[in-house]
Amino acid sequence: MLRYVIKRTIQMIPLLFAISIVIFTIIQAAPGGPEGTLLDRGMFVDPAAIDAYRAKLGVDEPVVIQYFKWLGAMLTGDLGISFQTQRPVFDMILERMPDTLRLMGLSFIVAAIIAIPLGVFSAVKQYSTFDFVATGASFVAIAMPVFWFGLMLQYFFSVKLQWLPVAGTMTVGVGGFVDQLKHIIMPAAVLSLNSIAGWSRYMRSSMLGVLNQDYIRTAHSKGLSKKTVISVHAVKNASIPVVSVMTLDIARLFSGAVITETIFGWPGVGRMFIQAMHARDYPLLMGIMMMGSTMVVVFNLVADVIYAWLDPRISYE
Amino acid sequence: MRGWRLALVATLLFSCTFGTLFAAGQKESTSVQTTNDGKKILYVAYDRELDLLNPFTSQMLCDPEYNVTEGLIFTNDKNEFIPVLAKEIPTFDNGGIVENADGTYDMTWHLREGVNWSDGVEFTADDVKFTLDFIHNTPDVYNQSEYNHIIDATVVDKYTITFTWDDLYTYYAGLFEAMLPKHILGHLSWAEIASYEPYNRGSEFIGTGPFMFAEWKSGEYIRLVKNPNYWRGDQYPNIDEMVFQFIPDQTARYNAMKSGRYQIGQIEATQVADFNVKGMHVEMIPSNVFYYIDLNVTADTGRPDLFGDVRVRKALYEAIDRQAIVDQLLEGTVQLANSPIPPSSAYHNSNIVAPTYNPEDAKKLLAEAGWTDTNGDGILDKDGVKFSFTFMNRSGRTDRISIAQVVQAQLKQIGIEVTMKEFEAAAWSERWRNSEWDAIVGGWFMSSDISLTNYYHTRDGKNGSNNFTGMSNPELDALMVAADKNLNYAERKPLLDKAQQIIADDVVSIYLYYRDSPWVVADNLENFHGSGTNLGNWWNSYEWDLK
Amino acid sequence: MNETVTDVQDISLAAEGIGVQLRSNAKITWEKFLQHKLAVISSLFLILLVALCFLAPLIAPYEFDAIDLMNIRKAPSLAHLLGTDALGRDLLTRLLYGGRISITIGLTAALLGTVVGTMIGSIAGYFGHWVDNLLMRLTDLAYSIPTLPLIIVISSYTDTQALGIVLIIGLFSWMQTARVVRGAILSVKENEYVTAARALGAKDRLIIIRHVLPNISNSIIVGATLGVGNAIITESSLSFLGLGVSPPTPTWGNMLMDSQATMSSQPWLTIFPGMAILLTVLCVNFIGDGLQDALDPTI
Repeated sequence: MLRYVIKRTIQMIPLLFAISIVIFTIIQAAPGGPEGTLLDRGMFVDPAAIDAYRAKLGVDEPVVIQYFKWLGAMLTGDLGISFQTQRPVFDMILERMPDTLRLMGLSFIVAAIIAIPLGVFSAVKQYSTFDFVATGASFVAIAMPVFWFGLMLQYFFSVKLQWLPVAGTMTVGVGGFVDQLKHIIMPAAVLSLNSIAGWSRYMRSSMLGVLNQDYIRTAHSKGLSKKTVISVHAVKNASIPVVSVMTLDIARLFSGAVITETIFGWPGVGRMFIQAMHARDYPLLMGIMMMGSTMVVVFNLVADVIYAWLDPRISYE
Repeated sequence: MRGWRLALVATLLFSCTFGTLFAAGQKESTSVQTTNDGKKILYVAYDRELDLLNPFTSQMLCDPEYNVTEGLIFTNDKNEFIPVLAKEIPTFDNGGIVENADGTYDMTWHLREGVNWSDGVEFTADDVKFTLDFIHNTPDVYNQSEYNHIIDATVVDKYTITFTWDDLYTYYAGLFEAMLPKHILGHLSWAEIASYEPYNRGSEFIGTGPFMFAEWKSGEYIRLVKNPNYWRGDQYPNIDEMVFQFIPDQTARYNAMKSGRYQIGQIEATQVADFNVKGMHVEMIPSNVFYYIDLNVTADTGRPDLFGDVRVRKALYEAIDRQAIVDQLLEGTVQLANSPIPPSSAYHNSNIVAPTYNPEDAKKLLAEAGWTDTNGDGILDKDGVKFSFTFMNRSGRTDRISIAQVVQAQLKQIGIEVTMKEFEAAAWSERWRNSEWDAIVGGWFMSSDISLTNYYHTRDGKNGSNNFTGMSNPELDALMVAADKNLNYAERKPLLDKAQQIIADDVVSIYLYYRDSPWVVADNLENFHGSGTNLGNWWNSYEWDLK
Repeated sequence: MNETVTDVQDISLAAEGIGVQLRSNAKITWEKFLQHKLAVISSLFLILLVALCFLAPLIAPYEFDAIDLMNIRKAPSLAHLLGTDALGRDLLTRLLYGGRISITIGLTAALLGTVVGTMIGSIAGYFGHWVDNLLMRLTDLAYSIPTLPLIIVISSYTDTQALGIVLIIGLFSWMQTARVVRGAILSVKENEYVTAARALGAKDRLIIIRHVLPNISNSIIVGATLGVGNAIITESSLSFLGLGVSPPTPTWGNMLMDSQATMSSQPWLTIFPGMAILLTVLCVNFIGDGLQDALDPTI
């Protein structure tokens, strides 16, 4: 297994290289350039000043040269300077990480804690009232766009009841744990709801598949209690599909959630990405997207390792 | 049976979720928070996050930084320039401006004495000179070309500086709305200043204003605190802290204002009627923003075949029910516009005769211009060309997209086919500047020092830098240039009045409305006099108070 | 270990006459599906919904872009059965027209995602080694492609923006299914009946179709079901970011988006498109349930 992990880790390098070319091409292919924001604000900007500005940012050079300059800098650990804020991209991403991970991590954990038991019990008690409610609720959740659910929560809990604040991570000048908790509840609820709906469906269906299989019946007949059978044998075997989905979602944690962050004024990476996109802030865009891609690649490797743990028969040699 | 139960449960859950909307009690009264630990904190629901604090190199139209940095001048709620760090605004009358023998002009500013930066260092004419040098050497400054007409600057003494202008410009008094501290930035090169993080991000962002920078949490808020040594005296400012919370989504901001946790914030025109919270009110602040429809007559990339004939343009003007847009779509929160100069400006011409809604006359005009429906498909045509064009919409600008849809429907009534194409902001901007479009719905911020040359002058590399319609009218050009070079109100007003009438007669642009910005303000916020200029509402924040 | 034995017999039978076997399987599956009443009703309802939406020009009471500024945001009435929107357009009409794009986006994305994802995932998982590695790295690459910038690029260069959005949502929704299928197959292929079948020399394609896929059909069907809802909602989220199908063309997604500003005062603008999405997702789910039962070899 160790050999496999090392092999895969080495393979990441050419893979990320290929990914960077694809991403760079796409963002450069989008019409408009970083001078757009400057032009949009000004009324008298003369063409010479725009050329000087583009030269300063280095976007007057051919795309291929720009790419290799970016790549060269990145290999030495330099992600470049953001066009908009004139700050190092690395600092900007790092600065947003704690709040991004706090929100995304909390909603991930909450979703996992709820979704897996929900899926298991729905399967074990198939066609019970519990199953119906869980299934019904997950479809309502699936049919609800994130922005819509978020705004509705705001309307209900912030405007009508005035229990929870609308935006930010804390009340500036107040702070404290309870205050921070109040701020994170709604965005975390919005983010976890969708995951719960999806994951519990996967868990339920693969659990049903496993419960119908012979060896579970065998284990049961061997005199193992029903509870043991479910918790040890079945859940472990049924987890593989949900692990695939969850690891992909973990990779996304680092990229933030654009819409939830926008609605709740949450200082995450997702919103920074959208702003960077509109401003054509190429270094910042590349930084955020390469980080996201690295996470996808890494966590898919993690998923493969987990498969082998869940089912020891799996081998990659 | 099982499925029916599931369907039932799902429907039930769904209706419950929606039901909460009605079931929730009508508790909408609010207790506006004013103090905290005895401190008066003003919480602002702000619609965007700044890129950086340096107001010259910032590429966003933002204004919180003007609470910290002050300039020679600023704009007030009456759309006038007022002196701040200068004793008065130089004019010919007060001897501040003199014409030189070579046709250049000397403009002398006398600075207020005894003004200190918030770190205690005195503010002097050297800082003004330093600010000008920075602008001249930095391509990131969005209006650098205006400053480039200052060809020389002499520091006469500590409190006096003279600029030499190559000619007269209306905006001469509208520059220098902020100042850079030489004692903080003087040791850096010009390029270094533009990317100097301690200044751009705040830790060394020093100004002479009523507030000082305290904290900037990226993506979340900016916090300013009282400047204890403010030059206007110990009684100012009254408020201890200001927190600008970034809430970009308009519905979320509306909810934020309704939640009663913020004392001031901007909402949308369509939200005004529903906003009814105890302890808060909506102020409609007249802004210098006008909305319009532009028709592109640029050869090759535009549609001179359609819009080249003034009768056609006039027909379009008459076919659009602008009053209905104002009254119904915008619920009467805006004012009908007939010209680009808003009523809040002294140069507004209220006597313009502009085409009014008259679809029958529009059809007649189109027929005169040769546009009739010869093949009976419901769309006008001429020489085999269908009268069909495309609105280029900027994605996310829902207000303008709504207008475009209304116009589309109204033009359909007189046999004109309109299609829509949406572009993401940066892509839109690029196409717009390249004149690669047929028609747009736009909105512009007119600066307080009215000048029309940028928008409507024939684009010749010098003037008309924002005229992407290809419109050209020599008579209008002459009037606008003359108005730009004349600083005497009595002489200038008739020039601009006539220019506005020509724009209407020639249908250079179709005007829709002047926007009033709805701001929600807590009842207990005193001395707030909102300003609709592009420098924002904070011009007198030193005297605001929370009771 | 009874099952393993019968399975091996199956395979040898199958090897003799694949065609017959598959045809009779399809027939059995179809009969089983017909027994699942709810699935049948859902199918009929979905067909009806699709028919209504695609016949919208014939049956809709108004035109989808017929603006009436004097009747803005009117509650449901006889003239406008579901009320009117922010520009005074008939909501029922827009719902019907909107369904054309939303259902297309939902079904196309789910279909593309499921077919492509299952193929790539099962090939990678079953053959393993370099095939697996190559296909999964391809999946990583596809998963890393930023969809928002891609949509900006595509919609800037094409005139059929709605088609571009359908394609992008469809073409970029297979990766999750591929990962899920491949992960599940890694485990399933180690089952004794599969190894036995291989030992007996059965064709790979047949093993995958007859023995591997039925065992993971549950997850595939869940993926497809979720895919329909996700795709419709993704279009709505794109509208929120200003990158969705542009007005005046209605979709259920952009109708929901437009309604957000006034959802408390004019709830019908929100409820009806929301209901349409929910019903579609539910129907697809029941059809999925029916298929699951029909395909399950143990029932």
